[in-house]
Amino acid sequence: MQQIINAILRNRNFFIYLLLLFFSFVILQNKSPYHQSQFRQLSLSLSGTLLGMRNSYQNYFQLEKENARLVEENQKLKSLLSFQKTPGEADSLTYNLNTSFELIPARVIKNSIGGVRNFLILDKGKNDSLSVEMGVIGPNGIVGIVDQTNRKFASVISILHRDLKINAKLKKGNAFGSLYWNGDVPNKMQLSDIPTINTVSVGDTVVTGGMSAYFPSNIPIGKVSKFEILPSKRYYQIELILFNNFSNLDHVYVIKNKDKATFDSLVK
Amino acid sequence: MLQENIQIGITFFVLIILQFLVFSNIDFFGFINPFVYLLFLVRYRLDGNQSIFILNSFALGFFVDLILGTAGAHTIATLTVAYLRPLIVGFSFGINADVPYAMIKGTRISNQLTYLGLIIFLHALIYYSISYFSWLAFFQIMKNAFLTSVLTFILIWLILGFYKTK
Repeated sequence: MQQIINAILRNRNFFIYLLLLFFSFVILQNKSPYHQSQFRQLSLSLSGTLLGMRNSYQNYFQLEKENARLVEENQKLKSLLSFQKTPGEADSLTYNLNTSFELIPARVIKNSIGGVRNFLILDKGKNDSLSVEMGVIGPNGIVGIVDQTNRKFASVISILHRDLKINAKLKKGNAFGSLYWNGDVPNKMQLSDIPTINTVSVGDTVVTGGMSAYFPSNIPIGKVSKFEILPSKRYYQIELILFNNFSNLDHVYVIKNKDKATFDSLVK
Repeated sequence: MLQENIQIGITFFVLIILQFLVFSNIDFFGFINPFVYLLFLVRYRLDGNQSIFILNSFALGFFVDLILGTAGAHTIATLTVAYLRPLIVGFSFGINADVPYAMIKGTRISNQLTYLGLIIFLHALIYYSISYFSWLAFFQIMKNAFLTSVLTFILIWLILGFYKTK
């Protein structure tokens, strides 16, 4: 112990320098959005490579569980085909994707749900035609939006991110509102701006509104668990329970919107 | 000792104010501004406590960043140059590296020029590397670092001449 203290004291200038340098980079990262994005790119490359290595052997031991999940997913799809159900009727696995959207499968190699601004890292990147601002959906609903990509990996802003708002609607009645997460529990989100002229009841399904280029409409999100009328009496404040379990996300699909450029040019 | 500390304190604040009011508004060629506050690092005594020198330099860079509204590039550049200064002194002055001040009579002009040039260029290089933070801007970083260094070098050399005659 004495030797360690002596070594630190002997090299104190180096340690002071390192400490202050770290502090400077923290300031730089906090104050400059450009550097923040550059640091995130760097962190994406580093953590993506390391986690990719870890996952490659971890996946091998989870094959049995993963097979069971895929069989279940297949069964749901087969039953939909055999009953000729219209896509969008069931709560999950029935994404009403029209031809302008293409799905790119990916696996989650890092997922956080403990913070107030959560991110995921996917094992696909620019090499697999992923680019920023693409929507990501899981087996039971939306997951997030791609915000950084490099050749091999992509980082995704989870819908469990305090600063993200998504256009959503009540499936029954088509009333549009704004979906956000208040940073509390990872299976509940809030839906606001739904006018009180609409009727809401517990158990109603909330789906994507389709008013953005990220997600097509009618992708399931969750079910209304609680709602109240705000003091202004003009809007509801709705709480919903998500269909997706964010704690065990593995297989996801990235949505490539072929008409995004056209959509963006109109919005601008 | 107390007098010297007061002098360091005054130099510290005067340089920050001058950098803000005068030297950051020169806009030579439209974008080149000299970092004359580096005079603090150049003139700080060489045989003083290195840890305190690093802390002082960090504070200098921090205040310059704060007052110029830059994110942290001045702090990182100034801090790194302060940490590396013993190496720069050793490289520039060789066996005469134990002088109390770098820019005093008795040291060779060529040694002084090397010392001053290295401090200024290293600082500018780190500053622009942090500011651009991209390999794609390599030539832009080198060009800006070179032009800023030349202007800073000339101004600091002129100011040092004023100190010497006084």
